[in-house]
Amino acid sequence: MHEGIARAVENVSFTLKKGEMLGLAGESGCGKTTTALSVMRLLPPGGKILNGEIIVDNEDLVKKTDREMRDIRWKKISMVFQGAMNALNPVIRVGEQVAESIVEKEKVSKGEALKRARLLFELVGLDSSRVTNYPHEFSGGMRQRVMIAMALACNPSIVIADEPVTALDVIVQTRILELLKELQRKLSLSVVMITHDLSVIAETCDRVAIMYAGRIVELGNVVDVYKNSRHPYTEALITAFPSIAGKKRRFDSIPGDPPDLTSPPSGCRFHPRCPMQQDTCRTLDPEYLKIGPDHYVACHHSEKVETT
Amino acid sequence: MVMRDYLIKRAVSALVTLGLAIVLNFFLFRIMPGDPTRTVTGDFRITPEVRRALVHQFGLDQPLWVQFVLYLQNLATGNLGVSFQYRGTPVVAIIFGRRLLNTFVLMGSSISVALIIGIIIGTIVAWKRESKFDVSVVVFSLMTYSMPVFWLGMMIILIFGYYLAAIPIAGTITVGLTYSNWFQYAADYLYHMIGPFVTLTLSFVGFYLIIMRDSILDVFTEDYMLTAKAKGLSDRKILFRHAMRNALLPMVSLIAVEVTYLFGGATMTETVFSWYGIGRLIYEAVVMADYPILQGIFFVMSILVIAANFCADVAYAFLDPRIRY
Amino acid sequence: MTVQEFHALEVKEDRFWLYRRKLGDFWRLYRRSRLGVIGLIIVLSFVIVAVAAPWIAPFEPFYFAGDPLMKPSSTFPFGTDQVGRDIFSRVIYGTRVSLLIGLIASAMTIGLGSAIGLVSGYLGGWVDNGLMRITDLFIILPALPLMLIMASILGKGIMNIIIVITVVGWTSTARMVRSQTMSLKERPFIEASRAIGSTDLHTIARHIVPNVFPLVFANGMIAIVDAILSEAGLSFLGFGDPSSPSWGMVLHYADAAGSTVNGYWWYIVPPGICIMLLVMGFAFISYSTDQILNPRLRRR
Repeated sequence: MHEGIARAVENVSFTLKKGEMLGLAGESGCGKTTTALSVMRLLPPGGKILNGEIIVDNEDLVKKTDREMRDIRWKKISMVFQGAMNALNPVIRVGEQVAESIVEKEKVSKGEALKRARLLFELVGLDSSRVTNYPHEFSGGMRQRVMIAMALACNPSIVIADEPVTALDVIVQTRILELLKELQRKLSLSVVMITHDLSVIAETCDRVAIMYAGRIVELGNVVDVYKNSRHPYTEALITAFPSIAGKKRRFDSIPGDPPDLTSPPSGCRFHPRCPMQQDTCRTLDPEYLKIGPDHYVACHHSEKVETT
Repeated sequence: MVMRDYLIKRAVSALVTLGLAIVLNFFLFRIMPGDPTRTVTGDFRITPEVRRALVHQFGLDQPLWVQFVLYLQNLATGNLGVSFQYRGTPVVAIIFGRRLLNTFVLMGSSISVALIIGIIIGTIVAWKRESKFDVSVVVFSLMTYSMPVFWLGMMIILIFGYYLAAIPIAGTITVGLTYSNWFQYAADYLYHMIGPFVTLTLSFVGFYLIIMRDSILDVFTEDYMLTAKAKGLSDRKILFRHAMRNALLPMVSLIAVEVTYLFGGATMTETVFSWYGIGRLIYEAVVMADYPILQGIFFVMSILVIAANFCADVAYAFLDPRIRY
Repeated sequence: MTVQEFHALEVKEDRFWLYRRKLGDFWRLYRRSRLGVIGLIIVLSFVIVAVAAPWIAPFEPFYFAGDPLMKPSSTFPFGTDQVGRDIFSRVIYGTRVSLLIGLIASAMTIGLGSAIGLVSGYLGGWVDNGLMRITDLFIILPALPLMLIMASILGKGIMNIIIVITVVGWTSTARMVRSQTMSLKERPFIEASRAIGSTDLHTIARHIVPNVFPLVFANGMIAIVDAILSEAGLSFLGFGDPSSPSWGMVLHYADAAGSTVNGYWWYIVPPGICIMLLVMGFAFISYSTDQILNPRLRRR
């Protein structure tokens, strides 16, 4: 491992429509979390936004000062982190953690805020009396509900969910996803669903962006992308997931490893692992082209990709 | 109810350690060389009969296990023996008098102030890591940590006592002065305490500051700090509400372990400033080979250290809800 | 050569390059830390002074060179003490004593502590319990009083001071090594080592020690700091070795001459500053090493 500048995210461009759920999919390290953190301007000390715009409600977030961002965070955009990890402060009661952003941003009393916290708990399917508990007293799935309640505390219009169900077992996963879908409908939220699990996206999202090595390689309506994928990576991802209803076939895992982002491959970043790589792929970066009414792809051979 | 079990466990452990300390205390001073009779009689030539009488009086001619039983009996009744050098004054009276109070006042105040300053400033510099403020504070802390306590005391006496004549050179109170009221007495006492207080506080604060800073930096890598920032909370809330409370936990255990070094620092300071406390008593007792006093002090100190550790356990239980429930 | 011998050679060579690379990485990171480099320079300077003492010092440390208690001058940069000895020379020679005691005492402290920690952590069970009780006891006992008492028993002398410091100071290393050993013991590669039939000693030496070493090294710097300060304290209180002019001893005589109340600043300031600088040097090294070895403290 050596040092250098890792271009974690490059030429990423997408629009989140109001009331839709957009999926952001890809392997670990492909830049999906970095994209999310960039939107919230929460990059760690070593990270920087070099250029670009993030437009929310006709305002560019990249140009905002720290103080302005602080106001925007949680009020306009909030995040749901993986609750199974240490995302909740272990020494503070969960009710207070939910309530503190309300107190801070809406200048209400703590009592008022705690009342709202109880309502939020009920909204996400938790017993409202549990606002006085500590995080370690909850199971993984319940902690995730707490995270969701917390994210909704200040009535944001946009919610970014970063791997919200990854660490949960399948049954709990389904319940949480149902909850998210329901809340999105009820509250007209616009949601970005970040995950490496395509089946989650298939279940919940309207549109999906597939990311690889810091770039979007395919973007479009979920049905289009899944049934009619035009990028070899997308195709490979979809093939890697078994389908109970489909016919029996061999699984192909994608050979190779994700690239080192301090010195990415030349040309198309996926070419070392691509079954269709040719000379152009090695030298020329594929353009991001529109190939359908709401379908974009970045590949030299998008017409030749076979769908199963 | 988990907390109750935890505390009971810690209490039992503390008592067991105390028991071992009592036993060790006994044997430690029995194996020490030197002739106690000489100390008592002030090294005058004494006849063998007198010596034998003295030995008998102090019970030193009995078999060891008998002495041990006597020792335990005495302990139970609060009798720590009589001093050699102070001609029969009970050890208890010597230790549990002005001396202990003076040491408590001095040590208590300097530890408290050093802790408060160390914790607060340690938190702030962790937030402003690598800034000019941070670097200078860290260097300053390392400097005071590296200074020998007694030398720091000497320098303070030299600069503020000798050159600036701002503080008294030695003692707890001005000798021979009479006071018209309690206030005057307190003022004089505090005036004399400035030197040793500043010395001790400066020597403690560096350590606490750096430990707190490290602890907070550790906490910064936790996921919940990112959550707090994402929630758009103010810097102050993030730092003092979310980070500090978690960072204090390891500090509590560390401080408990350090207690013995605090006594060492107190000894040095009291000796340099001639502060009438336990620390200086230790030094005098060692020089005079006054074993009963040393034994008594060891016993008292063992209790204090064990008690301090137990208090730290209790504090930890209160601070960390994961232990409680 | 048998297959085993060849294999052993290969493994040894690999490990050598692994260490060299790890050291290289460490050094690269260390070089960037300003405090670390400064600390290293300070310590090396003192080492040079200690080694070159006979050539640097103008006088012998016990030579009555001038009148008592003279202020600093060109002949006597730090003035003279109450019997007329040159303080500058005494401080230079004192570097030797302080460094020597610091290094030897800390080495023994670390050695004893590591040995006990390794045995306790690796063997577990009754051995562990017993050793930990003993360790607890030593932790409870007040450090300085214990040192004073032991010093008065053993009498004056450099070796005695070293013994005293070691006896009082081994506990923290022991605890740390023990917890490291216990966590390492559960790792799969230890099981593998036992499975192929290595003796316990072999396992400890080959697998556990190299992994514990970085932490012990960091702890070692702290031990040196403690040793130097303890020696200074003991000597100041009069339990040091009068025949070796450590900085603590010089300050002891300074106090005996009433330097604080008479304003003999040249007697007090130089030895104290030397102690402070040398300890700071090691403290900087320890601080920088800590920042590198503890991955959580690194810049994110």
